[in-house]
Amino acid sequence: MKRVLIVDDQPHVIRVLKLNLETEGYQVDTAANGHEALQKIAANEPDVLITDIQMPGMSGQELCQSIQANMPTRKFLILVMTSTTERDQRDWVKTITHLEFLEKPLSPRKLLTRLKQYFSNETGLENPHA
Amino acid sequence: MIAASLIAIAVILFLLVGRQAESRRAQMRVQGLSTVRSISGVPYEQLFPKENASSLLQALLNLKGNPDFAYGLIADTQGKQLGEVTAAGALIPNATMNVEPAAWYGEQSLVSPGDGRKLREFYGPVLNKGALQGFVRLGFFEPKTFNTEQVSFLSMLALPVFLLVPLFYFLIRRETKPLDKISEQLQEIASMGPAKIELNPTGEMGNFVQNFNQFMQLTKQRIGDFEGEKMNMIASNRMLAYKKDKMETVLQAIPEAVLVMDDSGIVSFANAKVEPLLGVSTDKVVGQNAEQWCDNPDVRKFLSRFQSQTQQKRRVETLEYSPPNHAERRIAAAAYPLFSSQDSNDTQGTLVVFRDITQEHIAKNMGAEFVAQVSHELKTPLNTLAMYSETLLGDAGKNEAIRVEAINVIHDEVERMSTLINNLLSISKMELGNITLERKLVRLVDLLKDTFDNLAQSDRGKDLKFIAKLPPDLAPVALDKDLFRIAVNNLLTNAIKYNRPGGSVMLLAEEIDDQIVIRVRDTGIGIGPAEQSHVFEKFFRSSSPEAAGRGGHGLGLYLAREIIELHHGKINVQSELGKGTEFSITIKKAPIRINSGATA
Repeated sequence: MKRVLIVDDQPHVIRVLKLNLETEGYQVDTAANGHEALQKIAANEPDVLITDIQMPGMSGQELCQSIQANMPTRKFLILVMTSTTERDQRDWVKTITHLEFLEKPLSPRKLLTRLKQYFSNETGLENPHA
Repeated sequence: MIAASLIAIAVILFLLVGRQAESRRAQMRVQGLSTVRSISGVPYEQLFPKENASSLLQALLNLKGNPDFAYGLIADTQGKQLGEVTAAGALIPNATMNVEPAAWYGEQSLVSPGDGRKLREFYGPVLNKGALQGFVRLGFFEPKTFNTEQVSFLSMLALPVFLLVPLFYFLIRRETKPLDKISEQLQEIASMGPAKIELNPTGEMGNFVQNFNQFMQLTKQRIGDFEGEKMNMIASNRMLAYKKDKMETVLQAIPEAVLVMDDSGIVSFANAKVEPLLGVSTDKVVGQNAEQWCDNPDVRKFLSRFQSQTQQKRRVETLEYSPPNHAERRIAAAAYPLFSSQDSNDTQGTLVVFRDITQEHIAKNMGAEFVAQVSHELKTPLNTLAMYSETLLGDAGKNEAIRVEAINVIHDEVERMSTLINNLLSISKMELGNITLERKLVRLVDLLKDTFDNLAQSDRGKDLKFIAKLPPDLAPVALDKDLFRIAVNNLLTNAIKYNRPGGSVMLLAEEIDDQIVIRVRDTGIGIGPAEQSHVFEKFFRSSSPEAAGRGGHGLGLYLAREIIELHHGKINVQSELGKGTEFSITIKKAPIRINSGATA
């Protein structure tokens, strides 16, 4: 079972994503900010991290930069939820590998499609070596 | 004056007569002595030739033309007369002659024996071959200082003089009279009298007076013109001074700092606002260029561009800056070229206006922040709505529990959005002054209870305890029901939003004298002392991370205060960090109506 960690300060967002992901058979863990997320990652590394940017305490940007600095060999994908108006603030992601954007307002259906595609590619790539 | 001139004339006459007598006396002496010597030199035999005895007399007779001649005689040493000539009426006095050779020549005073007139006698020897034979004596009357002849001559001379002196005097008086008048009138002219000589003399003086009058006429006209011009000048000078004063007053009163620089960049005018805005006193600015008075490098650079006016520099230039050490302040400078009113290509310097735009800057930033905040606030529920509605459409929507949850969340979020939008609209109306208070007598208890219950039952306050202590007999109040509900709702919403799980929200109301106090109390995160005075400001957001995560938009309390103040009420806050917050509204009870109140 693939594990997904959702980081957002909006309980509704976490709740609706969790409902959708769990319905599709993912194991979902949640965190309300960057610090909490880092603790969860350290305890149990997820297969995909979904994070918001604007959060009190540690923001999504700081979280990603911290992961990039401390886990240079990480394998999991980071999906950053962002709105079109925040595009000018995207320069910082250039230093972070294995990162994609999810446009707000977030479509659970598109997220599920992307995750399905991601995991099938991942297994598809891994299969020849398996 | 006449007496003085007569005395002068008399003195002159006296001296003249005296001088004449003196000259006659001298003439007489010369004649006498020379005649005596010439007779003495004649040889004796010639002096007395028998046949030619008249030669001596002839010589003596020559003297008879002299009016002073008295006598001439030749006498021997014994006094015997050998020959004589006498003037009419003259007698020869006797005289003893000294025979000593040293005394042969000489002169002596004698008295005529007849009439006692003074005589002057000149004498000399008569010699024959060196021996003294006798003496020649010539007598002259001493000339009188005033003789009758002279007196009559003098009187004849004096008479016309006496007649002429007054005549001249009157003639001169007559001729100088216009001059006196001129002098008199010039004095009058000098003291602004009539500029005309009112005399009509004839001749030279007449011409002079006529010319003078013409000249004076012209002068008077010119002076008139000059005075007219002078009055005009004074009037226009006063007008200019007045206008200048007015312009300066206007420039001083302008709320902006105003500088006028000439083409070389020297400041020719600076108003009093320069000091508070630029921190340099006006008198240190005027007469200086930017290099000399301005210590802000940005401003100096900006102003220096106008020191040498070129074609390119003839448009309006602006600068916005924060003064050093005052990063919170914002000043806008605008430089306008001053064009000559005659020639639009000719610049006469630069007008520089400094404006304190701190408030505008804050408002602008706040506005931008506000838009960002509001759009974030709107997008968050929109995002939730989009995700839940899509969830309903997807596989998860088939689950009954998920469907109920989704519909509830959608309902709540729609409500939240409409609250926000209502708040925004109310604020915008209130700020534009479009809101009119519709005060009606309201049962406050019902209004409070209704608002409170609505929130208590909503999903938002799930984990909270709601306690309302509202006395049922609370006095009625004249309120705008809809607006007042917004204010109370905003306070209660905050009490929920900033609360802690398991906390409580209390609504209390009580009457104190003629006022009603409504309190909204929570057990939430609280507000720090420094922030308590700012919570009612528009767009104010707490800087605490705990508060920031709760999605406020800095409008609720601002709107609540505006509404309460419209009702002439007061709103206050008391809070302790980590313990909770209490907002209190104080408004006046409706005045008691004795008639209707008792019977209703």
